[in-house]
Amino acid sequence: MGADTDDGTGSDVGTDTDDGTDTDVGTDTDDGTDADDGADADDGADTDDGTDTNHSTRGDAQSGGDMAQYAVMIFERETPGGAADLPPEVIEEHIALPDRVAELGGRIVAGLALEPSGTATAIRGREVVTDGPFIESKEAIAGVFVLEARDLDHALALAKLTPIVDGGVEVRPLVDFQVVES
Amino acid sequence: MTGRAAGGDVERAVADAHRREWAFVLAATTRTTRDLDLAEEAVQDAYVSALTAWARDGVPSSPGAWLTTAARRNALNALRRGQILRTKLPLLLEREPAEEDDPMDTGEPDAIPDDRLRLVFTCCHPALAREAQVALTLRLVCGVATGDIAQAFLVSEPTMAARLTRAKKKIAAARIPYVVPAAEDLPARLDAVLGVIHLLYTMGHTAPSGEDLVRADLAERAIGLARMLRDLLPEPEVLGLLALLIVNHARRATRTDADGRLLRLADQDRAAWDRAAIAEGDRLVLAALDAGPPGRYTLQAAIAALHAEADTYDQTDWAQILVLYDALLEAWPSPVVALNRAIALGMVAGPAAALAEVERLEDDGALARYHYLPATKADLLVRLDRRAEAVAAYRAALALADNDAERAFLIARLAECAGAAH
Repeated sequence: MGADTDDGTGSDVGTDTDDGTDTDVGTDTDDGTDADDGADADDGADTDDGTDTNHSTRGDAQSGGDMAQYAVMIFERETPGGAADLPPEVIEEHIALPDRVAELGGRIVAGLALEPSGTATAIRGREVVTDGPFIESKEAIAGVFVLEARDLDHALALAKLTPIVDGGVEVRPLVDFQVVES
Repeated sequence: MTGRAAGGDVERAVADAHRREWAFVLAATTRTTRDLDLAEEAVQDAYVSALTAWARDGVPSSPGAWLTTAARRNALNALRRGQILRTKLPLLLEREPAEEDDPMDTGEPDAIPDDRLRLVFTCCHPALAREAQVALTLRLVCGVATGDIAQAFLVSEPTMAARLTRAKKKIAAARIPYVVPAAEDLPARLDAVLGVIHLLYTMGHTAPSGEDLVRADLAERAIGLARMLRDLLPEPEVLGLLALLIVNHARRATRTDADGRLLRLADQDRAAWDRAAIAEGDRLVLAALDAGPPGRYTLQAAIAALHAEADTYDQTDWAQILVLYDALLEAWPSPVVALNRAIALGMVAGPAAALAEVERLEDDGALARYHYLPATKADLLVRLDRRAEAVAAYRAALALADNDAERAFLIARLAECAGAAH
């Protein structure tokens, strides 16, 4: 529906950095089964036809199963061993995360765990190569995953499931590269 | 329709509809445009066209419905002319069966759903910065012009326009949904809305700097918002906030003297307080207290009501106020609350006990930039007849205050105190 026409301004997102590799374009694989009502713990008896309480359907109802993608960046206080230092229960939670997200009507599209920032190399501009992460801080990006959710509220509810030791996550929408429909 | 109307009447009717119906009209139009910018423009144009149409045809019996119909038509026309391309990031809202056939159906007047709560919750979404929440609420829910909002924030109009645009883009790009939050999220989300309204009132009540202590318009906007919220979502804390604002507003005439100088509560002319408003606030406090364990706004309102109902400052029920402050400090642990509690303690247990509490807060450092702390300390030192220390404390307060009325007040106290000390 109307969701697909470009607004012509082109500048509305301002962070178009990763062009060229946007394999997410139009892959909208939402299966339409919408087993999503678990997300709203207030009931569990919802039918998934879009006529339930005004809190659950949103995205799919208004644009035919259209989901948005968000990057969830995990910031953690760094430890020498990085991911290897994670307590076993945190690792188990990570392993269980995709299923839990799916139970609540979302989907994890991809996930990346990073080695500690001490292993990072920065390239400033296109020339200057330096040791270390681009931005030095107590908390560093430990991993990233891409989440499919109906809207920001849904994405935040799902991102809150991320196991965290001593940090938090940042949720950011991915640029939507939908092709203009003629 | 009521037939042709005189020019002045029409202007008044349009202004009235702007004040009363803006939020309703914009919220309903947003539902069909799914684009806040487009809806805002269409609603603005609808108000402009109302001036001529109502002069010609008479003021409609339901101005809100007329304006919504006109705004929806404007939006549809703009889309048809292709002047505004439909955004690829529409606002998210669930579809209701009645809307499926023709989303731009202008509908029957009584069929227009009341979407004001969605608009409020979207503007006050926690993913937006507090300043953006306040500015968006003023612009979209209250219909205040961008230039006026800029003035309230003491920034230029282009700066405010850019801030509003950024916030609206985040709503679209991050897909902040145009919905009333789910039940389990409601308490936290409502708290953000109440925070915005309270901040708005505070901005109106005590301008952060400049000459006007009372910006009545902002304060009245805040009270209007709180009333609207009470009508749509009468949760106990909504009643509590409304009560707090009403009671504080009832005393607005006496906060300053004829020359604009700040007056202490003890020196205010209680006969000039708006008794009817205080009674309304009191009824709201009682209703909120009846509804369960009181939250911070209800407790603050209860304290304000006790102050407002006392015949004199000394006859205030300080013991009861101290009990309420103890509860408030638990519900809302904040150094500012602790400072106010110290003042009540001073009235119950004497200035020495209060001073010990204020000095503890001073050591804590959280209120290092807050001029009320040294001002309170100075008042207590005066009561203990430690004038030289009081002078130093008033000077410290003066160095931190930037509101002209408050500065004038402190200068007067300082002069009084320094005179007595020598």
